[in-house]
This record gives sequence, structure tokens and C-alpha cells, in this order.
Amino acid sequence: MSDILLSLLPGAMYFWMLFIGQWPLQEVLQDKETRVLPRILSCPVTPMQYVLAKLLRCFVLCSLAVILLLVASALLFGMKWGNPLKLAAVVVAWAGSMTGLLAVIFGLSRTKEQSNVLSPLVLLVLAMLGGSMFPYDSLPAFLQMIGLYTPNRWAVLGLTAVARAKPLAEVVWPLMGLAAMGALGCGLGLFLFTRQLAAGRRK
Amino acid sequence: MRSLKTILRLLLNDLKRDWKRPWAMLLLAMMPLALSVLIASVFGGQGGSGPMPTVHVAILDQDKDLLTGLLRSLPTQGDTAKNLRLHFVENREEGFRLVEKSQVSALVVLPTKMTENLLKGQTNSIELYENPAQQVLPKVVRQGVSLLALGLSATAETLGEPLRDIRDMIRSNGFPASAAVGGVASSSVEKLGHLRSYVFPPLIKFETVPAADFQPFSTNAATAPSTP
Repeated sequence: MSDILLSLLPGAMYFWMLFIGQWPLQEVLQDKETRVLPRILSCPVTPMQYVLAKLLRCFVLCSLAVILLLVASALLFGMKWGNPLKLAAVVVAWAGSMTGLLAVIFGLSRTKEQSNVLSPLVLLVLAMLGGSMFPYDSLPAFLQMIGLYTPNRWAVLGLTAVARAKPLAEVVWPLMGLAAMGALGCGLGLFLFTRQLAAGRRK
Repeated sequence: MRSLKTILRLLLNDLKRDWKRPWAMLLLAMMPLALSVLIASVFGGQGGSGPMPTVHVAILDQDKDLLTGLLRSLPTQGDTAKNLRLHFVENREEGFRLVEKSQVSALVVLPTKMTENLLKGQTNSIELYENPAQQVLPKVVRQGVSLLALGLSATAETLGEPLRDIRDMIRSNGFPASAAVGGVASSSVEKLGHLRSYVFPPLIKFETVPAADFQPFSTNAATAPSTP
């Protein structure tokens, strides 16, 4: 069972964990719409601190969920995920990239409704191209080419490389892609959110 | 520093809230595991390296001679016994009934006088009815029957004469003479001797590799750095 799970689970994990990560960022838009945000910001809290706290919460929740799944699958199905240190790096890279991706999606959304449309759209397309829904190898060649540049694909490559004790180079490249995406996404998301919240404050 | 404290305080407040209501998160976190296990059990049985399914095949033996008699003993030997189950039927209707009930993956009809025609060097046709309700196993049977036809043709072509003698010996009621048995054995060995240079050593060997050790060419360590 563990052999086939190893080819199915990493992609599915990355896709589903993104839905857990969206709660904190959805709350930002919800707080804005329900006028809770002005009350929070009337305390000694800046919009940037507020958004950073939400991004950190997204990172923590994603990390915890991934750890929970890794442990559960190891205990229930005897899956061997490989070196714990490398695995920790994978978890950090996964959670970072998820936070970055979601920060951009929710930073671009003006309302919660907008985010409810945009977020599943982006996440589903990435999941399909990156092999979270169908086996990546069964995709046509041109879709595989596109899918190679999705975070879902990098996430799968990183985790399976660690689980199969592949050489370090095969682990590092996908994780670097995820880390870069996380850093860029968080930066851009933070900028978009704070600009949006500051504009709302001025109104 | 104060800014960091504020961020951490906000984070802790939110996490405390999450801790008090963890069920939605736990449910969502278990979704990939549940779905993957479901898909793995549907498409992979007990896993990719799990046991092979048993192929059930209905056989209508209209020949009832030497070669088809050998076929009857085939599934009782070695690993074949685990993966192949032959159901010998008396007529086509019985075979079709088994196909319709999906109890077999295919019906194979071995024609009348197949062995005799083969040994005479005449052409035979084996009929195959695949079960349309099944996806993969009928294709396995088709490949198996093609291999069988090829194997029988090659055997009849190469060992026609000794096989004819063996058949006659089996058919005769008396105990065969030692000289006749020896003659058949020596002519068989002589025929097989001609094949030695083609068969031994085999030019192609079959080897199985565990999925975990399989390394496709495209993901070789040398080409891996081009990934993201």
C-alpha cells in the first residue's frame, strides 16, 4: 500500500493543505467586511503587524497539518518518509510556498466573495497541472511542460525525493523553487494587503 | 521588538481560537489521506507491489487430444496455479453464460482436431471471446492466447515428428517398447540440439525492479538540476 500511496499522497496533501491555509487570510477580508478590522486597528496594532500575524498563522497551520498527515500516514500505513531533517526542510518549504501563494491570491481579492471564486480557480488549475489530481506522467507532454513550473509539482518532487532517499540535488532544487515562491509571494501579498487595508482605513 | 511581540500576541490569540475548535481543520487534514487510500484500494488493490489478480478463463476443448491435454495440466503448476484458473466447459452456451455472469474474463474455443492438424502442419484457428464488462484481464488473456498459438506452432514445427510418435504411443493400448521410447527420446534431443544456439544463452532476460528503485531516464541525477 505504501508504494502507491507515496505516488498519490504528496500531491493530494499539498492541494488539500492549501484549503486549511486559506482560513487565516480569508479572515482578513472577513474582518474588513464585518468592520471588525477598524476596531482591531484602533488598538496599538498596525495593518502590517495584523497581516504578518495572519501570514504566520497560515504558515503554522499548514506546517502542523502537513506534520499531522506525515505522522498519521506513517503510523497507519507504515509509510517511510525518509530523513527527519530533510523532511523538516520540506515541511518548512511547503508551508512557506503555501503561505506565499495564498497571500497573493487573497491580497489580489477585494472581497471575500472574490476570494471564494479566485482561490479555488487558481488552486484547482495548479493541482491539475502539477499532478495533485491526476498522475503527472499521464498528462500530455505540453501540459507536463507547464506543470513542471507549478508549486504542486515541486512539492511532490521534493517530498518523494526525500522519501526515496534520492541525492541531495534532487531534493534541493524543488525546495529552492518552493522557498523562492514563498518569499516572493509573502512579500507581494504583504504589500497588497497592507495597501488595501491602509486605503480602507483612509476611507 | 515591541512590533514582534504584538505580532506574536495576535498569532497566539488566533492559534488559541484554532486549538479550541480543531475539528474542521482535522477533518480537512485527513481528506487527502482518506482519498488517497480510497484511490489506492480501488486501483492498486493491496498496493503496487501487491499480489497479481487471478485470471479466470473458460475453455471449450473440442480437440481433447495430446496438446490440449497438456493445457489442462498447465494451471496446476508453479505460480500459474495462483494466477490462472481454467474453467473447462462442455459447450459454447455454458462458456458464454460464464462470460455474461462475469465469472471469467474470456472464453477460448480450441477447435476440433487441433492437435492432429498441427502435427500435419495444417492451419488451425483458436476462437477467443473477450468479456466486454472487464477492462484489463481480457487483454491479458488475448496476449496469453497469442503466445499460446505462437508456442504451439513453434512446437509443432520443431517437434512434429517426435510428438506424433508420442501421441501414437499414448493411443496404443499396449506398453510401448523400450526401443521405441528410446527412439523418440533421441530424436527429440536431436531436434532440440538444433535449437541450442538460438535458445541458450537467452538474448533477452526478464528482470523485475522494485518501484522505489526505479529511476526513469528523465529524472537522472545528472539532469535533475533543471527542474524548477
